[in-house]
Amino acid sequence: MHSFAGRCICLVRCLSILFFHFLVDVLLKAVGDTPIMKTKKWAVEKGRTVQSLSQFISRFLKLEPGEQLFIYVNQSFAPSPDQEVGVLFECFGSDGKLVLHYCKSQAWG
Amino acid sequence: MADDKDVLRDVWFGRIPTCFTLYPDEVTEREAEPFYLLLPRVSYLTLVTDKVKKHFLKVVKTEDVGEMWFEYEGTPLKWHYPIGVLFDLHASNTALPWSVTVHFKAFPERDILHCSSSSVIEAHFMSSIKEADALKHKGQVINDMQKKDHKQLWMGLQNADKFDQFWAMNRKLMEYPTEEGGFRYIPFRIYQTMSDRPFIQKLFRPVSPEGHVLTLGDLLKEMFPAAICQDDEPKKYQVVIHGIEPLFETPIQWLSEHLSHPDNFLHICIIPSPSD
Repeated sequence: MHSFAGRCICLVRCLSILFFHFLVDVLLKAVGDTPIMKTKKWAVEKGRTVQSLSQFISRFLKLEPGEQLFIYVNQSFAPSPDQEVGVLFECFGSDGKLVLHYCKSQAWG
Repeated sequence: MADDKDVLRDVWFGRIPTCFTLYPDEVTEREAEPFYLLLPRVSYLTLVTDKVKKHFLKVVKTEDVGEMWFEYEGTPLKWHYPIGVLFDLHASNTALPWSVTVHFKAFPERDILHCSSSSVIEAHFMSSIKEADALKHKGQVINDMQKKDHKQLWMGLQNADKFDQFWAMNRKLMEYPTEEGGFRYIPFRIYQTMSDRPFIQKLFRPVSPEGHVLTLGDLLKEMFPAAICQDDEPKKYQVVIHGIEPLFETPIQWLSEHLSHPDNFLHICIIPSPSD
C-alpha cells in the first residue's frame, strides 16, 4: 500500500516529467552595460520564439518601448526572431541548458 | 568538390520568372500594370524588389504607403527565407510565372518580420552563416575570417555576377578534415506547409558512428519518416531542394556542400504530392 505522501511524490514526479517534456532550461546572461536579471535561469517552453523571449526580457528589465534588445547564441550569432527556443536548445544547448546572451546594443557583428 | 563546380553554378544562377501584381484594394491614381522580374532563387525578396517598389509607387497614393510586403495565394511571404524556398514550399507544381501580390497596407505583423533596410537583411544573412558554421566547425572558420571577408560574402549575394568572389570565400566554410569525412553537423532546415512550426532543425552528423556515409534518406527517416514511402504505397510527399527532388541515396554531406543556399543552410521543402 502506498502512503498518501508517497502517492503525492509519485504524482509530482509524473507531472514534472510531463512538464519537462515541454520546457527547457535557459540561462540568460547580460552583456556590457545591459542590466542583469536577478533570476538568471528560466524554464522556457520549447515552442516559444526568440522574439517572444526577447519581449519578456525587455518587459522584465523595464526597457523603454523604443529600446532594442539583441539576443545571441554561443556569443556569436543572433538567431532569427521566429526561431524556436527548443530548436536552439537542441542544437546549441550543453549540460542540459541553453546559454543566451542579451544586450541593448549589437555585441557580436 | 572542385569537380562538381557546375552544380554550384547552376544553384547560384537559378531564377524564377515572377509576375508582381498590386493587391486590388490598394488605392491607385491610375491602373497598376503588372511587373515582371527574374528572381534569383538564392536571394531574398526584399533585396531584389527595389524596382517592383518603384514601379508600383508611381500609381499608389502616397498617403497610403506603408512597408511593402508580398503574398502568394493568401499566404504572406517571409522575406527572411530564401526566394527559392518560398517558391518550392508554396508554389511548386504551379504554372509559371509565379504570381506574387504586392501590398503596401495592413502589414501582417504575426507572419512577417519587418525589413526597414538592406542592413536588416545583411544581419540576418550573416547570422545564418554564423549559425551554420557553429554547427559545421564550432564557428571556428567564420570567426577566423576578417570583417572584409564577411563583407565579401554579403557583396557576393547582392550581385549575381559575383559568383567567383563569393565562392572564393565560401569555399573555406565548406572545408572539413578529410579523416572525419564531413562537417561536425549538417546545417539543414526542413520546411513543410502542413505545420504551424516554422521548420525542423536538429543535430545530424554526415557519418554514422560506425563510419557509414549518411544520406538524404537517413536524414528524412529520422526527421520526417512520413516522407519516405513504402514500395507499395503511392508517394505522399515530394522532397524538394532548389526545385528538384534529389535521390534519397545522395550523401547528405554532398548535398550540404553543393545544394546549400549562400546562408550555408541546406533548405529542404516537404510538400504534398500533386494529386492528378
